[in-house]
Amino acid sequence: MKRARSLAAVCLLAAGVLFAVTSRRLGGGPEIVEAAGARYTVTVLPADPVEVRVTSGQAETVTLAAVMPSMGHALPPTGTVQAGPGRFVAEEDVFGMDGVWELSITLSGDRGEDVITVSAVVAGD
Amino acid sequence: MIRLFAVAFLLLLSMALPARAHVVEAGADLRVTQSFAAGEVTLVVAGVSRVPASLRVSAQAVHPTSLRLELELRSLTDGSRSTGSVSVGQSAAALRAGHVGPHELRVRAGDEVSLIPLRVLVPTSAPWTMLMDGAFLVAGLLVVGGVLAGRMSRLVVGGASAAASLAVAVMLLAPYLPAAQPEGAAPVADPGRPYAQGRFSTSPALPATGAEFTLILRLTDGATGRPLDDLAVHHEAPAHLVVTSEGGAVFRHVHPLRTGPGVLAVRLRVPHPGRYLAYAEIERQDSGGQLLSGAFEVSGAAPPDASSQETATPRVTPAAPAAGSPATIEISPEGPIKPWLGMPGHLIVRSGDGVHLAHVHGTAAGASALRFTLTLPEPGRYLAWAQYAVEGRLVTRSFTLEVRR
Repeated sequence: MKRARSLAAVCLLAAGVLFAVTSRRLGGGPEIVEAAGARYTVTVLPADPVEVRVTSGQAETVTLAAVMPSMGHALPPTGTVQAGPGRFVAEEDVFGMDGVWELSITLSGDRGEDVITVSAVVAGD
Repeated sequence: MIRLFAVAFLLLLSMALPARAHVVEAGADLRVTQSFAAGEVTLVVAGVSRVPASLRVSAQAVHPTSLRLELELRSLTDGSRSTGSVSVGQSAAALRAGHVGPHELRVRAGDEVSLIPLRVLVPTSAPWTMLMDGAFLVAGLLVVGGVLAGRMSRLVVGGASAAASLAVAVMLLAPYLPAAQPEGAAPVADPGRPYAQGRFSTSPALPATGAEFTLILRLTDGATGRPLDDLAVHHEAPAHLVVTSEGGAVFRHVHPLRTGPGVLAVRLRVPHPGRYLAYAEIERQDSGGQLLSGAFEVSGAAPPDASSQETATPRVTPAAPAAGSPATIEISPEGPIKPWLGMPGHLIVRSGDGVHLAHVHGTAAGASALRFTLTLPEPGRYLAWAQYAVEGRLVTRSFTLEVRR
């Protein structure tokens, strides 16, 4: 009886660990993407509204163009508003559906113009 | 038995995977062939199993050459750079890769630069694999410990049984659990991307016979029209470019350099004026292969000698091939063949009107023969070029095929 109980306890524990690991891998929030172009480096949080932080270089304007490569659709480029030093927030939502998106970030500022493209998985929350 | 099924299942899954990008991962070298004006070079980037690591880059060539390449590896994550240089056939350059993920390898040969995107991957194991291994270990330790101590208490037997059953349960479930993605891998999208559109141009706009010019291919996404910058390396190059003069007297098979997003360029020099047909074989990531074609003109006067091509007299079976039926073409190289672009031989066949282009790979038939089998769609006269590497040189031999109805 005692053995059966301890067996059940071990199995429950294992199932819990598996569930925790699986849900952490499959769910969870979006991951911050770090990317470097030829002139600037940025970090991007790929969830609406998209926020771009310029970590190297002084950008003055930042525009975003989102594409889903496997779906063959692109969205009109959207501007950003500066929410703080080096922090730019998209004026409009861009990720209309879940999937793999490619975001082209065009920056202009003290180091000239640069386009940085990042890929990100957008999943419903 | 279960493991056997699991392995077979995983093998099937891995075979179904679509084309991958320029990936540097443990156990596999990334080989990228590039045609510089000074000669063709295959860059070999050795895989790494952890980061930070030193990424070893060497250069190989069919023709021995003294070409020296300046290299710069730039991280597309934090912008860090590492430089080095390598000569063809010499020891590898060691470039520092600080982390996994996308990088750009800048290769300079003289005044030509190629920007090769690559992704550094490091293997990881799935958490359930670790759980299974751990459970097997616990079961083994408990049994061995119990035997050694001479005490098989209920707790030991119970614990060992529980650990063993957990391990077996995970093993049975393993084929249905997602496989571990290597660290640094690109997000996995649905397979299939829109077709590519390619526009060929030359610089100068009208090249002259015998003078060097640049053939440029601009690639755009067939759906969105944006620059297409996701080529996968297939058969050791991101793009295979075949250029033939309309009449077939001139043939080039080159591997253009990526000079910017969606822009491929290669320097050429041709001995005859007239119309030239260009074909680019490409493969987008997560997609199949596709062929883009175009044409350009070369000005000037025709040289006195008609053709400078080496010819071949192949053995064709059947002797008079029919449209829609397979024909086998056998060529006898001059000596032992070495693989070029990962294959013993290549045969490129173009219809007289340029509408059809086939690129078939050969198999070695015995020590001194190359065999190609292909089916041609329509009756007519086809121009063919067989290519293979032998005795330190790349041999191209031309011939024609008459296909009957």
